Amino acid sequence: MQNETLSSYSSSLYWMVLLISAAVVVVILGPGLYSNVSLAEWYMSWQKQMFDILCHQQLDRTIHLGEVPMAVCSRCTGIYIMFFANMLIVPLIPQTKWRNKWAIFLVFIALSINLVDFSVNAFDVWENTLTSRFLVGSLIGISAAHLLGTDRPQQPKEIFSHGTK
Amino acid sequence: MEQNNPFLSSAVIVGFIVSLLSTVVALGISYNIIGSEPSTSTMIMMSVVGLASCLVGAFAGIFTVRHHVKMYNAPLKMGRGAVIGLTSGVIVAVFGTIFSLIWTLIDPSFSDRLLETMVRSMESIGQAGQMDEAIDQMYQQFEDQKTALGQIKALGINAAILGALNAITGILGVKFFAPKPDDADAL
Repeated sequence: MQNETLSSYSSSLYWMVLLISAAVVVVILGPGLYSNVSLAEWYMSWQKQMFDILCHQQLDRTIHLGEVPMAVCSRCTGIYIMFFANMLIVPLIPQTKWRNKWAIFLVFIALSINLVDFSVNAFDVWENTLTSRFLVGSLIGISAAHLLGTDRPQQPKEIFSHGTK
Repeated sequence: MEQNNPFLSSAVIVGFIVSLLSTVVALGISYNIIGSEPSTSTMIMMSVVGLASCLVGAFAGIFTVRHHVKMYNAPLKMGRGAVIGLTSGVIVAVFGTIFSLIWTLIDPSFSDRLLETMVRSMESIGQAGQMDEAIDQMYQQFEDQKTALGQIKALGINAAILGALNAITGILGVKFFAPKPDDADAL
């Protein structure tokens, strides 16, 4: 059914997801998108308050737009922006057996990389930066959009029950 | 063949558990922060609170779809997954508000003590001078949240963002867990 796929530009579901992700991207850019507000105005902005429960929003871990912090940290910024960016092109990526087989694993790999990045930074093994957190976070956004656009992703139980050839 | 099985019970069960878990984690870490000396580590703990809430809150849609699939073991349309996710996101927000109100009754001084600790932490790491205005706004926001209107506003904001994000993770849940229809049905 054409309306029940995210791999076609003619699907209404695809446009719904694209619109939600576009709206989220506009919100996470924060009040700095419209004007040069003070830190107090940023703190009280509806954009910042929307993501209160979803992100720590620490100022030193947040990318600034002009001089105004965005509404979420750099890792979350990477997730949301790259999810939207990949959703734009996901119908153009061919549906292949390889894609079906690895789409779910790619999400787990992206999550694992983020967990490792968070842990090694927490234990002072290395210090990540705004850029590295953005890039690592973007892997989650890219892989999630890639999975959504995959018509028949092979679930791990299918792979293990049929072997890995 | 996909069926439109009822999903409200799954959404309520998962919404309740997810909301309870994130509330317990957030409260546990918040009390740890209140009991600790103000320092940079306090701010790091706050980031862990954010991470825990994020991981749980945004993925309620996936867990609800998983629960629904376990109950009915039938193929699920992606649009249905989105609706299930959206519903579970709104329910997480509702239960979150209820738990928050209940905790206000159990420990009325909780939010004041947390706010004081956060402000002292900001002062201890040398940000107070730059952030006086922001600290005033924090006091204002905490006061607003104690009013009925403030609670309703917070519930509306949380329901909107959790509903939207969980609609997407609900579709992801379909990809992860839902049995596929036969090829003939897919065409």
